[in-house]
Amino acid sequence: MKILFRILVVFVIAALIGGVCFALVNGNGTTTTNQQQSEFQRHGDRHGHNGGFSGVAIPFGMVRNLIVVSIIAVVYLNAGKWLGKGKGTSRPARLAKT
Amino acid sequence: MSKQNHAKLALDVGAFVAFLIAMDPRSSGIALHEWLTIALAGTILVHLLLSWNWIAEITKRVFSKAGRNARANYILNWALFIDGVLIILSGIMISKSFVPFFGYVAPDNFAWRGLHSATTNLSMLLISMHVALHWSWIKSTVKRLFAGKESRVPQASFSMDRKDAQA
Repeated sequence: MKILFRILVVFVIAALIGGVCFALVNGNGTTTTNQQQSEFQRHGDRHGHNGGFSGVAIPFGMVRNLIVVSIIAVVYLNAGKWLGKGKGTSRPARLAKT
Repeated sequence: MSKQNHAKLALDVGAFVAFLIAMDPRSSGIALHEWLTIALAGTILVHLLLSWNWIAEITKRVFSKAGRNARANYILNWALFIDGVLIILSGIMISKSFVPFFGYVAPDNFAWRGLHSATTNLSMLLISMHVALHWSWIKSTVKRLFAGKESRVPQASFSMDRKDAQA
């Protein structure tokens, strides 16, 4: 029962966020014009294709995404350290015990 | 390592691999991309349920006692959740495989496509930060898994107690 309640809470919050987004996008009366369509295609559409399943390409796509995630994670984890070093605010050396 | 930690790690690794595949629809194909993402949404729900104690605890304390890191982590998780909802919603609105399977074809609306692209790109950044923030937990859990020792998993780098992680 407790788990069902928790699932319901997650769904309700998701529905609220989704509802607001739906109202914002559809409330603007956005109907696709030919101009918008051609502009979108000219700038590239990441998801507007029916790419076929390719067993060989999947590992390459995965590795590429993994590299991107790793780079961002490493930068995020070390940004403070690097910035600190640059400004000369790194921790002072500990004094030797006498 | 407790069974729940074991299950959590397996679930998270599975979800992460699915995320990496789903993020590249050009190589996976649109059908796999859509069905995998729907499955991923279910996995995220279980992930949230397994972390519920921590979520409830930090929600109570976020504006008072929580440390800076815990607060940042909390805000990041909310951003990730909102982003996930927007990805799924916009994905459903431009679906070419999942929604048509149930007999409905949504009219083309390029606003949804733009939103889908923007939110998926943002998710890459947010997931990376999420992984980075939990890196110490991931590292120690994997270490203990391979060491096969029953020992306490250290806390994450932020100050909030993760009661669920030790259960």
